[in-house]
Amino acid sequence: MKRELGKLFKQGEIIFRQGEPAECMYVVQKGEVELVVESEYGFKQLAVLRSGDVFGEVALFAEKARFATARAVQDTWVVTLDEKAFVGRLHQDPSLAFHMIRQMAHRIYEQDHLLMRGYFDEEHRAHNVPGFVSYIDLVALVEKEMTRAKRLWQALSFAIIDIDHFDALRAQFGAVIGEDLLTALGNTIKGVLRRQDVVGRFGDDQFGLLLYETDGQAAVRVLDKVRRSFLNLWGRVEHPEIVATFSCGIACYPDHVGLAQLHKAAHKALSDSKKAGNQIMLAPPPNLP
Amino acid sequence: MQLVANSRVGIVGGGPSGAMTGFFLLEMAERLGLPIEVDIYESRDFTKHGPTGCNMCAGVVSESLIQTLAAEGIPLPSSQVVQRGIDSYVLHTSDLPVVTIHTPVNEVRIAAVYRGAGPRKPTGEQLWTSFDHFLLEMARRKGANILPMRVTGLAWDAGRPRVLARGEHARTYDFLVGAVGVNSATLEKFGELGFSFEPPQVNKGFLSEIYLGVEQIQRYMGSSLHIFLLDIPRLKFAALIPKVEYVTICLLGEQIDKALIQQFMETPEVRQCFPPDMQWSMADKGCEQQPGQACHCGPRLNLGPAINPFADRVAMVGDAAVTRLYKDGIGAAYITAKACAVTALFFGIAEPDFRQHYQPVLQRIALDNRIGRFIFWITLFYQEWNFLRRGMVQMVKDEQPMPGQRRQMSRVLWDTFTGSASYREILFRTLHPRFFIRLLMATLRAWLAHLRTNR
Repeated sequence: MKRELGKLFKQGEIIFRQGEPAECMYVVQKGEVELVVESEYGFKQLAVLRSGDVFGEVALFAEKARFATARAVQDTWVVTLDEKAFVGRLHQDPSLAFHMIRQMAHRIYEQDHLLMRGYFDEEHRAHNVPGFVSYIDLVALVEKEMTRAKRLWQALSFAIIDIDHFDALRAQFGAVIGEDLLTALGNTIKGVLRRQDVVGRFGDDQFGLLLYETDGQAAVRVLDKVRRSFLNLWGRVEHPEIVATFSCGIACYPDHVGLAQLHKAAHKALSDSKKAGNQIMLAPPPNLP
Repeated sequence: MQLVANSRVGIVGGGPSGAMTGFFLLEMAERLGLPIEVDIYESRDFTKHGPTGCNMCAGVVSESLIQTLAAEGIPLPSSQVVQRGIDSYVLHTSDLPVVTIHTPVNEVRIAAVYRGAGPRKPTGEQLWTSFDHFLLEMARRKGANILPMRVTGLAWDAGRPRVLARGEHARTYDFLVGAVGVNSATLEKFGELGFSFEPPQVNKGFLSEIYLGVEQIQRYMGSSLHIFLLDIPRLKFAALIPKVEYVTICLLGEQIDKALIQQFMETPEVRQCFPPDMQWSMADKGCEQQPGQACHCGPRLNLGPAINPFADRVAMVGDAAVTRLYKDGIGAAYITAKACAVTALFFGIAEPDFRQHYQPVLQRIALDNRIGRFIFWITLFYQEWNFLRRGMVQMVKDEQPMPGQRRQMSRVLWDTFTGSASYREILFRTLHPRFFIRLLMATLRAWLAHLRTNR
């Protein structure tokens, strides 16, 4: 007996194909639909949609051809909304679009995120400096080590070091001095840190440090040592005439649980320390003001 | 006058219009980051079987509403709320063969539902829940308080509306919504609030639930809406709506009485839709498990819009304000509920705000109903004149081999009887010269053929 609404697509059946002209959009009534992009390199799944999700709307607003293929993952019931009727209703009640806009925004956010990751990946691997890991590798390592730290009940610290006014210094004294500065700081860090700790270099003038089994207070002591030894090396031996300092933000597990949180906290601490000038700052645990 | 943080909204009536007003108020307030409190007064329990839990309605959710709700991200949970997906309708006309018309896009987009929990408990494996309960639950999940109380009075408390309910309950609100329909005595209480509100003019229809069982329904009705254009005076519209175990009979017209119902049930066109052994009588069989009428009711139907359905801090929605002529009342409830919520949250709750932003929406529906009345006036001629009916049926038959979008007559009939399009749109379609010429040709052909066979 028919108690379902919409049109039935059997498992594996194609609802629309990439490149086909579009005249309507769809809402999943019951079941699952996947959006797949086909290219010369093969298939790539973009999204899996469930009951209540809208799809095929992009073609109504932007292109007149489908940019992806929609396929029923299981036996799926789908309600179609034809373009003309829907646009008419949209003009009578614009708030009807809110659900769709929210979904589109969500999808754009996710895709941007993926895109950015891919972009940074290439960017930072290209600027790889021997002896230092890349940004992407460092983040991946932090993620991995965090699960290990969680399992072993150990602490872990993540620090970001940024040279103060690096652009101004480089503009004033030239690129050679700039490179010298980076090398000196890199060597200092490597000299102070234990061998198993990891140092990454990214951006123009930033270093990322992963300190194993080190809690926040210990990390502050380590970074303080780095600062003293850098002042010694740079200020007394190499270029006493040029004043160079750095700022540092530290976040540690288990104060911050989760990669994104740790990362965000470290960046926040760094920007705070920049504001204060030439400081080493430890991010406070999130529940404290 | 505006809704601000922690404003309190009272909604009297938890049918579709009340539940949806509550839902949209909370949903949009959430988007604005505005915490508001919503109370919905509903004394009925829609999970109860029989008349106590029922809201007296034929229970057809139109194509346009299914699509709009889908776009809102509210898909109807099919196998619970939907009694039957309607994919076609069968047109029965006096002394002519039946015509089956399938949906233009080959897709099930009309739902037959129960507003209460149905006449009695399901006898087979197919279970169901009530449409009104589903909507009210949706509002509850958004954060509305459902108060199962009967409202006994409405009053003003320092310029704010106050709701009095049984058990000495009294609460003052910043904004009061009347979603009481036209069948409830509470409607008159809104008249007592002293704004110049006049309830809509009403007329009585007839609804009856007939038990046939799952197999018999499938055999005699299928998944089709059965529509009758019969030469019975005073009867404007008649339909059979198949549900899981029952079929709903819906009769609309002027002064529907027992004689008219009897006459309708005894016409051969109606008899052939039921098993030959079914004995129909006006007496309800109540709980007996055999074919026959389980319950019936005479709900009121709007004939026109209400006058001044809003004032400072008060607004009426759904049937109590305006509804679509003869059909798609739930669709009108959705439109008015949403327009009311948008006005209250984004513009204000004073009378001028409603006049400027809410009234046009009500007027659009009322205007469309006038066109609808004209269309139904024309269908009266079709009910009365045999040659016109023949022409129409001929045109539908001629169209069947064509692709969906080009079946003009089928689409006009489909939209007229299912409430899928506005009456205005339907009228414009019939005014197209091509439609007119085709209809004329079909009528002539049908009539000539009829004369030839008679000779």
